[in-house]
Amino acid sequence: MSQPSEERVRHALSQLLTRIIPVYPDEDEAVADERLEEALEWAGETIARSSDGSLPPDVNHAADLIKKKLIRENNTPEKALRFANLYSRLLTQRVLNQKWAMLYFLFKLGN
Amino acid sequence: MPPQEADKRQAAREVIDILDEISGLLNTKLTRQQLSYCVSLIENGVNPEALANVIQELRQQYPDSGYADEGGRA
Repeated sequence: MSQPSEERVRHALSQLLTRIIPVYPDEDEAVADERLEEALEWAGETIARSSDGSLPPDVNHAADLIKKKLIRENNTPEKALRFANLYSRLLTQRVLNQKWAMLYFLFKLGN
Repeated sequence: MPPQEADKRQAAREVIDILDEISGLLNTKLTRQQLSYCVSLIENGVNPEALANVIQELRQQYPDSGYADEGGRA
């Protein structure tokens, strides 16, 4: 991972965890900061360990997984059809490079 | 702001709109802000499966993180 990329990852991870790790009312700020630091360290190590993971780069594979899940988990095909529409729109978007990885991430997180 | 910059921002917003709706279909419970940071992480090479595992693990560890929605910190 290049230097600027690492910095962007560290910044985005910190901002993300700030919005996941709770801050309880009437709590000492140092305790809250330590909680966030520990989580950030653990999350950074977990992500670093997996940074060479080889995953199939086939964008259709992730889309198929999502379509099958939406059909399986819903009585009507409405959500699967809605996803098919969103997916075709997503394919036309040039600013997003890691389309497959994003779809696969959402699929995994939704499980 | 130069026109290309405005176009790029518009395109980025549309991508987040699309991903936000897909995220909702899959019931990921990500806020739009959280999703934006996840897009940045994955676009910069973070493994999608590892990131999903990190978020699920932290949610289990802090189930009542309703305090931390949209920037629970000051």
